[in-house]
Amino acid sequence: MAFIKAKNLDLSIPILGKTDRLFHTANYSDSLVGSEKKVEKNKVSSYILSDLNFEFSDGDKVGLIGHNGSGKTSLLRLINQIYHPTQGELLLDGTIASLMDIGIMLSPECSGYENIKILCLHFGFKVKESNIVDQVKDFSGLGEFLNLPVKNYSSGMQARLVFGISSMIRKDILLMDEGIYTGDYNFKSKASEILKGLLNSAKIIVFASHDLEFIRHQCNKLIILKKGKMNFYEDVDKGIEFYQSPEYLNKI
Amino acid sequence: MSNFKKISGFLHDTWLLGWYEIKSKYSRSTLGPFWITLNTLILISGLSIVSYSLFGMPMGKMVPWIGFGIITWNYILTTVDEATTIFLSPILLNIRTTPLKYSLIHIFKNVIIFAHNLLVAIPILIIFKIEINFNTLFIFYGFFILFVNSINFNILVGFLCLRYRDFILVIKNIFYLLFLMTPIFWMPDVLTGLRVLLIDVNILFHLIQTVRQPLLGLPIEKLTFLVSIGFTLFSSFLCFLINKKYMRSYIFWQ
Repeated sequence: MAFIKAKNLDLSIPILGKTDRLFHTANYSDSLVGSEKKVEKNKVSSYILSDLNFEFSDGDKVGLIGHNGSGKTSLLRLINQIYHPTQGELLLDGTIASLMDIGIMLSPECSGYENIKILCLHFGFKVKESNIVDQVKDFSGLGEFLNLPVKNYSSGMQARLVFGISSMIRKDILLMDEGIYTGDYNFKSKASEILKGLLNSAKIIVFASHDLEFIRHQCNKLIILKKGKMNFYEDVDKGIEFYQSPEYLNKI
Repeated sequence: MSNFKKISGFLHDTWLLGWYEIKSKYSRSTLGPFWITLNTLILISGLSIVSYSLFGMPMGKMVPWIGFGIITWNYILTTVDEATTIFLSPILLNIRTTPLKYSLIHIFKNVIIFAHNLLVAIPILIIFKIEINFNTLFIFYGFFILFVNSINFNILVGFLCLRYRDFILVIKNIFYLLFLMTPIFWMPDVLTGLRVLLIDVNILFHLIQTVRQPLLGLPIEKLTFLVSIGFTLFSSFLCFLINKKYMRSYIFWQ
């Protein structure tokens, strides 16, 4: 059984090279971007997430919404163990795949085929054992283009490749950041089919997005973040209603 | 058995990733990675002529000394030079990895470059009729010491430069100076009296000697043995401590 448990999770990230007095006295913007500032012993840091408590197990599809800089991506990175909590505990069981910014990992000079292999190696897949290369070839529809360097692809073609690779990743816990699929009309319908398959194959999914309709249809639990603090909803519709109401700006 | 499989799989993956780095770096050039070989060849010829005119040493002694020295120096230089910016990569924010794994990808890349450089050693061995004997076997000791130290350098220098960016420039400058100070294109026997200390305390010189002496078919000196083993143990220990302490927080320094 896969699970994610968080107990009093805190995350603060140091802001290096900013220790002058002016910066100490200045406040972060009062508007709804970014998180709180923390000053300790002359060191400035960003208080990204504070006091998060949640527990997810098999079958949970969790939506993650909040304003820009509310800590969505940081929370995904915490679960993916790229970041480690400053305080509190995060218990995990199950294999994790993160489909965050995969495009950045493509090597532009290498061919499509090579990039498939490179990403598989980074994700810890055995290329030989699975027929992942053929599957990506079929799915992406890139055909002979896979022999060309990725830098010659259009951004849509790159997205096809990235989505093709991402969709082959089957793990217990799946972390997704928004904007994972773009492409032309033909591809989108194909992609949403695959995406559904992907969503069904994982035991737990955490999906950060601004696409409220998608979250309404796909998720059964919701975390709303505001300046690093969270509200948890079992009822997704109710949560989205709260997020859209003026209350969100005042409360939490 | 499963542990062995894990480690060999890990090494295999990092090796392949290193290979793809090379491939993407040298794509579209006609000679590809053999440009490295050619560069080294030209550098060795140039430096040999310079030191022949400066010190008047016989070519037969000078060229192999400089050649094998430059090959080893290049490996150390590229390793440290890359280490200064290795952990600045945005990939680290998108995939779960460890400093060790990420370093190994780059180290294997440099090992491949080193192998291309070693090709230069073959004509030198043939032209200057250098004897291959029992001492040559110690080359494996040299490779081992160099490899272990390159892991340590990568993590230590990588962490230092990530946290304090000034060191990126400091280290580049220091290494230029070290190239001139270390007996690479000059012989240590031009130093007399107390000046010998300049070499004896130079750790880089001893590291280079662990590879150069066996290639020349000469025995590794006792002092070099002691310094290379002592330094490797020390740097490995330091690397272990630093890695353990900061492997969870280094990512915040990006």
